Amino acid sequence: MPSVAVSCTALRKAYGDHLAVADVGFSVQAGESYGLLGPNGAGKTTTISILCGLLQADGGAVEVGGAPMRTGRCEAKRHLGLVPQDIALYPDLTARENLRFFGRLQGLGRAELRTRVDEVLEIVALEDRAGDRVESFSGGMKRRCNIAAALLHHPQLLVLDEPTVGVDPQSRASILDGIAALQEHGMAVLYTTHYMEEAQRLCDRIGIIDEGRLVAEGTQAELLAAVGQHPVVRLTVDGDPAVLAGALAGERFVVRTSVGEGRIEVAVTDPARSLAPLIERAEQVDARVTGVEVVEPDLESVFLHLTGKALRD
Amino acid sequence: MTEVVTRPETTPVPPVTGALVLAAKDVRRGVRSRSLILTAVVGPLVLGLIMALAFGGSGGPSATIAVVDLDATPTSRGVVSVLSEQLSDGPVSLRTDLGDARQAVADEQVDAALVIPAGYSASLFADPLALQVVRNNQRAIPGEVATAIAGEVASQSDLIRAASSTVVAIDRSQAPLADVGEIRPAITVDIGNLQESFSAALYFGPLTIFLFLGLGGAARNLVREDREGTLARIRSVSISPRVLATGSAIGVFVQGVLASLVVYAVSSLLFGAQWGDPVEVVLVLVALVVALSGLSTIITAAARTEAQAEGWTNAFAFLFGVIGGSFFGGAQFPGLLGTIGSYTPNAVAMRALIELGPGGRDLVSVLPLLGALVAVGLVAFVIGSQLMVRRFA
Repeated sequence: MPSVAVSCTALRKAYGDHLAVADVGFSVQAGESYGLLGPNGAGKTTTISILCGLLQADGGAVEVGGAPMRTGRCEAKRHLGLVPQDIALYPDLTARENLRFFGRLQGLGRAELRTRVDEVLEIVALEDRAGDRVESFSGGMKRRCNIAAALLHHPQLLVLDEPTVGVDPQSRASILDGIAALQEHGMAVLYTTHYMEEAQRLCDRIGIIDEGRLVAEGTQAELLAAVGQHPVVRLTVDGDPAVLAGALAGERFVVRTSVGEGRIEVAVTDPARSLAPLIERAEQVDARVTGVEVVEPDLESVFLHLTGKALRD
Repeated sequence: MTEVVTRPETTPVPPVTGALVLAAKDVRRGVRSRSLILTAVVGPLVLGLIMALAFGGSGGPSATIAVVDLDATPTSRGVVSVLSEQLSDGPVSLRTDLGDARQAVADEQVDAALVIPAGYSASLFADPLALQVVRNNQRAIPGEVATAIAGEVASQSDLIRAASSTVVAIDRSQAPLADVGEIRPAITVDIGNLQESFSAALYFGPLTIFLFLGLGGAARNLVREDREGTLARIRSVSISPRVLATGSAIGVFVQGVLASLVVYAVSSLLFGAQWGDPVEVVLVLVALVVALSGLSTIITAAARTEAQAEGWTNAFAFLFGVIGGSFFGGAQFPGLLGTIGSYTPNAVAMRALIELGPGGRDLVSVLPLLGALVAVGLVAFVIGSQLMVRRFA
């Protein structure tokens, strides 16, 4: 099995004058989980559509399992399993009928298909509801069945396009645990989401996409370091925060300060070691500290830094 | 969810298998949602029953047939007399002049004309002449009824000759033969039964309308699948647009054949419709469904919304249905519209059915019609497949 599950280079797709995807390129190794993080309309689904052979790119190339991807019939498609954003199941068919249908299209023989359907039903904990129509399922059960249909042929690459939209917390946790388990067994996972916490929890590497461009890529630590994000100590003070900001200027552990009404935010190099000196300084300028909050930097702040807007804009 | 450990063996699904799997899914969903039962079984039967009642019970369509006697002999007058009696329950119009009869057919004063040719009586003792039929191509069924009558008369030429011979034999002590008014042969032509033999037209028309309406089912399915995401999942598997088109067409074909067979069986068994030889009927119905399944791929590839699918479907159903004579028991438009309508798949199939009816032609004679239907289906399928490739390229 090739160690690179998917690689795409210089993908480009335009709709008229609108450039939906511009020179996007990344690769995902076997057993790796890669998150494509961006707000709605950033180009995630277009990128996924090109990658899965649903859409012809205007430029660039995609290889899945070492084989070139095309919109028609091709070897590359045998190596991938797609979990579309929508519940891509037939509501009037049972879970088992849906899985049998997609399994047959994926090239599973009859005996193998029977075994695999039972296995994936167990994986998504739907074995007791196998004979029920999908339309009778809860939202979370539909999502789990939606994922099951992409697992039947155990693809090298599992592509999940926002798989937890509209799912209750319990089902979401179950889905994320399941995806992590798949990854541990060598399956590469490409995960698009605009839920920052999911990307942080699940993905080994993250690509941040905005307005069709991949603006940054790396592990979470690499991204935070690259954009110079620091922990922030947020102090609520009884006194003039501007005076405190002036007193903190030049301190070794302070990166920058930001003053608001009755509060001050201090970006620091090390919050654990900075807290005591900060409170001490405040007392020296008659600004009594009434509240302290330490905010660790996250992908939201990285995204904000890179694009100038919030992830959910 | 728990973990996955096995890796199954997979082989690329062959295009034919892929198409059959897709088609089976469409049929299964059609049955489960009852849409197939409604559009392919209940609808045609209800409409057919209404048509049967409108045209006088379960009997066939009535026709006005003129009889023209150009032989003007006692024998021919006897034949006319027998036909007049047999036609006593149905309208008949006697004409003495061929031109007058042709004009009457052309003007649709009568639906068809039977002509006893000059020399008919004399020919009985050598090579009997057949009664000729003057028909209006826009009035296919009455023309076929007249042809069936001519066939019945021809099949009883021995009885007519026998009647003539008897009169000739006893003639020597009687008045000259020319003074004999008519010689009535002991022949039987059950016109009512012949008309009933074309009663299948009453069910065939509605059946074709609903087959046309079924064309859009595949298009609507594809649009819905596109919207709901199942199409993306199907396309992410190694299924080409041509396989999609083939699966869709097979689904329409299976549903169409099923609908045709149900209507054929139920109209025959419950309403006494006479379609003709079962094998021939099935071949005609299958050829028609092949044509329509091919046309369905064009609609499927072209329609991007459910409204478009609906619009294309209705346009096909009502345009082809009206000008092709599927409404009102096969009645067609006069003039250019009628000529165009006669080339619609439903009209061609109807022609094949009635030509295969009693006194009509054999299967080999209508093979060109069936071939034309299959060819239309294949050409339309190729066009539809190409459109599908362009759509998903």
